[in-house]
Amino acid sequence: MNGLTTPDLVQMLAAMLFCIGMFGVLSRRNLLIVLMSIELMLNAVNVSIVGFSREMAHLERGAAEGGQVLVLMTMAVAACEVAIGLSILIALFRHVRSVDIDAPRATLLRN
Amino acid sequence: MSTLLIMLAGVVILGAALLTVTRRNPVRAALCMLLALAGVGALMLGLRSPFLAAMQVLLYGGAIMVLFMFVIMLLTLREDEMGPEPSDGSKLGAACMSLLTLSVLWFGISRRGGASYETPRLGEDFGSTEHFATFLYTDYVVAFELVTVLVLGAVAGVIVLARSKHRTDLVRTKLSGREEGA
Repeated sequence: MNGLTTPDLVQMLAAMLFCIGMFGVLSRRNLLIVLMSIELMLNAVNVSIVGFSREMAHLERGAAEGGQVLVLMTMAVAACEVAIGLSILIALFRHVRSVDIDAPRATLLRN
Repeated sequence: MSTLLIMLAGVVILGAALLTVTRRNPVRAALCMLLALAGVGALMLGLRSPFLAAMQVLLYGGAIMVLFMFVIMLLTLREDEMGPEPSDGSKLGAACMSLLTLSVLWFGISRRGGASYETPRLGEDFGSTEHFATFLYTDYVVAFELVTVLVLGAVAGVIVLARSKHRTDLVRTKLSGREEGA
């Protein structure tokens, strides 16, 4: 590692995880996998925030804890998002009998 | 020690995440994602956030993955219901876009300097549940309450979405009958 510090390593890891999730969202057609990829992207952001929080832990009291609280909030939002997303998926499956996001009748909302 | 744990967790996370986005079978993808989420939990442990690591395992590894597996098992998708494999062109385009994003992020991260975990004044209780809760219920109590409202909204939304059409019609007829009666 040419001069790469541990905090930078964590941020790079978060960036790579985010991009893997982005690849999944852009390339896959199965709505279940797309939702999982979105979860991976949210996790990458969590990793990034926790890394920054750890970096600022030596600052005055309260500077770093905000980041940790923010991660808990992100987790709650992610849980809500998955619940809504999966129920939309089930509603879509009932109508179209497919979880392919490019299925002929699944794209009705687009135009 | 901490750096070793972070690197080990990083390898596991990236490998499992790559497997997640490339598996065709949703069950395999979900199991790979579970591994990635566990890796993120270990990483948070390495970053001195034990409470968040526990929440990661409980919320993501427990609640969210169970929800995913539940839906996968409920649908029991046939091969034709999952749609065709993405074409090589769309894979290539997606790879180019994510590599472009990664290079921008990489540039930004490599340009920032002076970041380190060398913190001589790091409190012993940093990241502990007690310390975390003190902040959650004092400085950030408004955000906490707002999240409860959000969860309530999500519950209402899921109930509306999960209702079958037949059931909605049933309720509507009942309601209109009640109005006529009144």
